[in-house]
Amino acid sequence: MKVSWRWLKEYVDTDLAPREMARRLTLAGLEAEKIEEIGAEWDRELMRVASVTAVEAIPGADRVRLVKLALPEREVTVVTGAPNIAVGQKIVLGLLGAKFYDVHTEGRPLKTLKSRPIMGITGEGMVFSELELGLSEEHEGILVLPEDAPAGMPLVDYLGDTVIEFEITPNLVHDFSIIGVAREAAAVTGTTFHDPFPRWEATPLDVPALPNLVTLEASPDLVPRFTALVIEGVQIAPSPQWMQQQLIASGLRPVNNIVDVTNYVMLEYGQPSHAYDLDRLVGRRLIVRHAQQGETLELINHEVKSLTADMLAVCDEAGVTNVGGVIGGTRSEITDETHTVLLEAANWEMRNIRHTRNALHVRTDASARFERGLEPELTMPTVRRLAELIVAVSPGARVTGYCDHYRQPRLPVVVTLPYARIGRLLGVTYPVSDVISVLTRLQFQVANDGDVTNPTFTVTVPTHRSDVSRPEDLIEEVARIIGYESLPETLPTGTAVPVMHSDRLLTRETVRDALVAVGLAEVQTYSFTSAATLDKLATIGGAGAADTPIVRLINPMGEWEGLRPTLRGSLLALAAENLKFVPDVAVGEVANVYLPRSLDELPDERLTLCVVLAGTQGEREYASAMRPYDFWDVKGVVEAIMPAVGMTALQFAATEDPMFQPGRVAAVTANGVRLGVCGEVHPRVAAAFELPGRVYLAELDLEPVIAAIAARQGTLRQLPPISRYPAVEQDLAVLVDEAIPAADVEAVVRAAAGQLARRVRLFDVYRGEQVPTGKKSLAFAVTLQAPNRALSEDEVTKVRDRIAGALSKRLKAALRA
Amino acid sequence: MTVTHAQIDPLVAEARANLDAAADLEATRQWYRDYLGDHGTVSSLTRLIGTLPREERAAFGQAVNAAKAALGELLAVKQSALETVALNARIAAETLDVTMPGRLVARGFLHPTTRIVREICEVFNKLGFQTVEGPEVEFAKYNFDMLNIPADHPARDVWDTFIVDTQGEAEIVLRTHTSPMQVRTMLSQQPPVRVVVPGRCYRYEATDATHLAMFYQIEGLCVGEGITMADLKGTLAEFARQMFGPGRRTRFRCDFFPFVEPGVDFAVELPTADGKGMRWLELLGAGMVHPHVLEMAGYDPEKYSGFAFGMGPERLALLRYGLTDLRDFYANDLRWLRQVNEAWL
Repeated sequence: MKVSWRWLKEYVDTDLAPREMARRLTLAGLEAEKIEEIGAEWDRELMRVASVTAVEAIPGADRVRLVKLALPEREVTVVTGAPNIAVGQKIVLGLLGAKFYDVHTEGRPLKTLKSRPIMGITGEGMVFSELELGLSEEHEGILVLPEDAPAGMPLVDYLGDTVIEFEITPNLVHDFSIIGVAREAAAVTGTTFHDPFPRWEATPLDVPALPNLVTLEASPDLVPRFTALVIEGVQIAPSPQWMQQQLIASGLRPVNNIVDVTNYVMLEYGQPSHAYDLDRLVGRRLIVRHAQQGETLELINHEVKSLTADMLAVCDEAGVTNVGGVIGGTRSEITDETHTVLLEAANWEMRNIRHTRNALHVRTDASARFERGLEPELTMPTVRRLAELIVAVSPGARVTGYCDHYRQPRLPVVVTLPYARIGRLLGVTYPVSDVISVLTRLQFQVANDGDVTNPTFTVTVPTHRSDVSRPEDLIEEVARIIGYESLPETLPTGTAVPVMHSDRLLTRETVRDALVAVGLAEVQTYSFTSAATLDKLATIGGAGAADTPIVRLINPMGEWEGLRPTLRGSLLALAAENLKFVPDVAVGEVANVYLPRSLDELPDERLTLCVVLAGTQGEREYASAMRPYDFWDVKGVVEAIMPAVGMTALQFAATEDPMFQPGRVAAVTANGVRLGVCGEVHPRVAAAFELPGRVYLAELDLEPVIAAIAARQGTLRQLPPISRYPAVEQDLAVLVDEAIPAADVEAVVRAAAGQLARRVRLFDVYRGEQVPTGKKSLAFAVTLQAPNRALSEDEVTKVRDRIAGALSKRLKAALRA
Repeated sequence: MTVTHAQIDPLVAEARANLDAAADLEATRQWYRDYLGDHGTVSSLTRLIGTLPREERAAFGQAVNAAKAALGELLAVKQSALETVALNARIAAETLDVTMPGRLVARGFLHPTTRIVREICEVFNKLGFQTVEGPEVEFAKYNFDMLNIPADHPARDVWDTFIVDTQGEAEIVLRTHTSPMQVRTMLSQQPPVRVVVPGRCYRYEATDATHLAMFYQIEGLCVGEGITMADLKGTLAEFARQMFGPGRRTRFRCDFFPFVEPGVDFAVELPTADGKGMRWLELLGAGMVHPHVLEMAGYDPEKYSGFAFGMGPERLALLRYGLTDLRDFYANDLRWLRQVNEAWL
């Protein structure tokens, strides 16, 4: 909300500069987001109010005239083309050197006024339009000031202003007006607030009550109050310059004197109102009821909206004319011919307003106020203020009747606040007198039970503070006005809670560290997925978007339709994007995937690891050669990472997965539980993601890992005995059928070596000379070690023979010499 | 004697001259074979012993052995000199330009969000807050209602929410903040409670330099008997100093969050970008847990009080490390990630 400093000062006494006031209000909770100076470019000496003393024709010139202007100290002559200048006017005079906006140049730059002869006459200055002063878009003629504008006064004193834009959080409806900000400013700085409301209470409205002017058919819960006023003899005209100026400064566009007054009072008091042309209302009355389902209304912005039965309609006898509390329609709006005005100042229930404006997709200044919970007490002072101003701006207008439906007047809220509770919550003790003083400044009525040291206050909440209903609300009022700098800094006392990390957290962070340890970049990508991505993953006959159940959003954002059931798409897209700029993409992500369960349940969020290797390993360098990634790299990454979370015995078995190239994908299991797959991405899937070359991917579900760690909880984990005796390394070359997987051979070797096998690892595969077709030679490095002795040559030979026997028997394989 | 010397001396002189002439180690090894090896001419002199008169044999043998020993010494000296020359030549030939880069070792790195989240949580862990986590897809009841944000309340507009399609079976959203874990924690355990909750959150917001549809939040909650707002201020001030350095000035500003009362935002004073001045930068929102929130979670607000806070770690990283655009965090441009990682302090 934009607040004019000039306007604000009508209601609060202050010597503070606008910026300092803005700072103090900000600390107290009313945040100034922007401060704008009007007239900052107006020099005090050079830009002045002047009176027009003579307007003379210049011989030979029909467009420009010579104008004589009076300043208190001297007379000034200017030449102007302004059509509307006349003797006796007060205008804005700029002397040579003054700054103004150059209307005739693109972008309207600020320009310095220089002496320039027109028709042979060199003027001493210039008279300005509103546009040239930067006040509005008006450039029909020069700006004519009110008659009482004091000649000679610096323009910055007469029209200059500071506009502070405040953020109105949902709890701050009481600050959503000039009056509200003034009240707050007075309380924060301890100065006087000139409250306008007692004046209205002191002078009753002396016109006939017209109860049939408005019929309320809707529940008082939804329309707590409806106040209306009839004004006859209105002349529609532009509103006075000062009012237009205030509206523009506040961000509103002037329309005509009646509409401008309703906007002006909304800004000033916070209560929105609406002006109807009473002569255009069929039956010359209003009916407030629920809209009929499907009933349509042309709004003042000429959009046609279809209403629903939960919305409130303000109608005449022919049908709906307004959506209550939100926006008006064209049928009853003020026109240039309007003579009789019905003014509505109603109170609408906040939730219904919010619901209605959401459903209609319209936000108005009115709905913004009502949806924050405006107090019903405001309507009467508002119509009184409207009438006062309309009579002022439209001479001859007179109030002829009113109507006020307030069926269930709201009772003031009373809160009991034990003094001790303030210190208990804040951790600081303020004097009793300070507490009373602060609350009183904020217009709370404070009754004290008389206990001097530890009183209990009975606090009556003013009607405009709908946000205050509990002791804590009052404690916040006290603290924010006294200032939070008064709080000391302490640390919580009491029993400390042991800080233990969950298995899930430990697993996730350990895997992240393991990614780094094997040289990968840890990435974090958006949790969303799209049909396009799921379809790309399914290029080779897998389940596409249509067949993949996902957690779907009611309100998708762009192509993000739901949450990803796999990390694969995110990382393949990331790899494709990065390969445009870097040759080596080796990345891993540890994040949740989301698998839907039944509709009323939260989805299964499963912690998942995904690794992608693409491009060439390393960079161009003199000292080593680059090479493309291959299957063994991605498998090696999986083998290196998983032991970090206790998965030391992983099994890999050939499997099928439509996303991978057949024959180059392994299922990864641990203790019989399938964790996921690793392999080479199918060339067609890679192509769908626009990935050049071969791409390797592993995706592992980490939930079984977390479960395994959790299952070990409470058991004392100890290391197996570490042998101090020498190990013997034996190389075994095994001649075996091509079809037998290396893992099977390794298993047989391991089993035959028994307890002594410390490590068995394949280090070479050979086919060719001396190896018959259909066979392969697998070379294993076998490390043998006993826990309690050095192995003798004899023992080693026995183990070797045992292995040879097992290989021959189980796999028809032979040891090569 | 004469016979002896006549036999030996010319041979020794020849051997010496040839040794001097040897140009490299291989030549010295050939020289050895020529003179001192089993069939070398000097060694072969001993075969003459049998031809000599008995009384001369001993002297001749001694003379030959002395000559062999002397030549052997000369050879050792010569070989040592040649080895030095050869080593010097090798060293001279092997000079490296040590300013050339070392062989690349694949260096992995953590995502900056992981790093900042860890840094923040560690500060609070040391202050006695346990890290706990909750679901990213959450019942609206926990995300809003039980945090004092009822349906159709204007406060809900602050959180533009992704809503899960449940075909009307349930009201489920992508959590807009980590605050629902306040509720879950209080529902599942009795005070005292001290937790920090990091995690992904989601808001239906157009992405720009300061807004993301997905981001992290870290929530803090401390509830017990006698917990005060001064405790909140002290805890956050300690946090700010650990993150931004000792001696930092901090301040509270009154602000509104439906689930706390009083509510504040917490700012730290940091140097301006040009380093010439200081400015207040808002780090996080905080406040005393709203008594209604305590009640809804089954805690007695007459007995227990507590504070809560919530912060955006990516935003904190911007302030802490001088980054400028939140979008970079999840664009995952490896060049950016690597640069940030290398510059991280």
